Amino acid sequence: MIKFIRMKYTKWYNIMRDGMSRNNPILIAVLGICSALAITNRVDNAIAMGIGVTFVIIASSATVSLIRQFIPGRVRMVTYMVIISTFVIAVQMFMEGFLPDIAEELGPYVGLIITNCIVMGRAEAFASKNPVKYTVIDGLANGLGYMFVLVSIAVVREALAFGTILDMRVMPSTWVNWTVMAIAPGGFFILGLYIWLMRSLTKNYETQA
Amino acid sequence: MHPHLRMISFMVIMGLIVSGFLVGMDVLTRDRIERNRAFRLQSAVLTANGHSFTLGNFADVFEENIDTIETDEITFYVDQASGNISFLVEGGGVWGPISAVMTLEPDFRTIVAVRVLSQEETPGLGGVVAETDYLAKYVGVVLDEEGGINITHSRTGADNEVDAITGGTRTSYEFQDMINATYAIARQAWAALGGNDE
Repeated sequence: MIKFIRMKYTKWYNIMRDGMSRNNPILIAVLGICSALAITNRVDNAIAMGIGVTFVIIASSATVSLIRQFIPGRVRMVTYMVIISTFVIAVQMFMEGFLPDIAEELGPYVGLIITNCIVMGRAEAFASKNPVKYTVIDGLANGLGYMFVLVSIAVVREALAFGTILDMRVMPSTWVNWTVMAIAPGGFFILGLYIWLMRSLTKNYETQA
Repeated sequence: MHPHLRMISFMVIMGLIVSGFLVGMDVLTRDRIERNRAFRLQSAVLTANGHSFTLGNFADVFEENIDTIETDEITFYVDQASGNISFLVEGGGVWGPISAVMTLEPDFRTIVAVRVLSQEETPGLGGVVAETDYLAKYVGVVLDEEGGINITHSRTGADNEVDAITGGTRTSYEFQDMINATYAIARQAWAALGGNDE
């Protein structure tokens, strides 16, 4: 117990909690929702996307943090963009070469990781000011926070839209598929409910500036 | 150092490192990507004609069993045993290009198999177009010499009709247009070839 209390004051624990819940990139910061809406109609896509984004956040944030002293302030955004794109293209090449089936499954979404605001956000807000080891934890926390939300949305959407979860039948055979859940509006409904729930639970209210 | 000079040299150095890294990745993966692309096309043709193969020997099996006939407009892959003709069908979907392999019986009208090689449609909606269960509906459909295929929500019972995708209406229409446009070109090219053979 004492050990747990002490752990609560370590920096990495706080970074982890920030990314996963208190500052969850999707539910609290509402970043990266474009991909969250687009791919959450199937659980397997959500998991693959979550893993890809987590890897790219960790790798690009670590690189940014490593060279943060050398990046000239006025071109920092361009620098982040170049680093992020490089990692995404590398991931894409690697998957097409060695994991062609998964690459085909994900299709254009791998390329879309470049436009994910969370990656850029973590580079600017955290990696450019912190040492590499905390940056890696932060990247992992935000990636997992993102994946957690994606999967929780996808579980509901896939069950309602196709009657399955991970292609296993969960709904009775008389179930009528809700097509609206498979298209983007369905994602909005579920995401909206989750944001409401999360903000009520964590008592996160925005104060007027 | 002058701040502008520093900025420019930073960008140049970063550009060099990044390009070097990507060139290295390309060298590492190029052959495999090339092989995977060839595999996707050739395995689709082989599967449609019922040949068995592995990732190791598909190129040899393809070489042995399939004749490749290139014309100006289109390339045909003809199975030596059955005479089935396969060709690539390409076109635009809703979000990006779709490419598929269609295999026809020697009458050049009856569909043996359709297999989608790549597509970028909405997963779960238009993306259904690439699923085996959906493409199984195309087997045995007889293309109309003039009208080609008719992908529809309201079937009347004609031989060239296939069910459209629920929730993927636009993908269905794009897919239909793509098949019909390619079929028209392929039919002419094939007729021209047949004239030469006989």
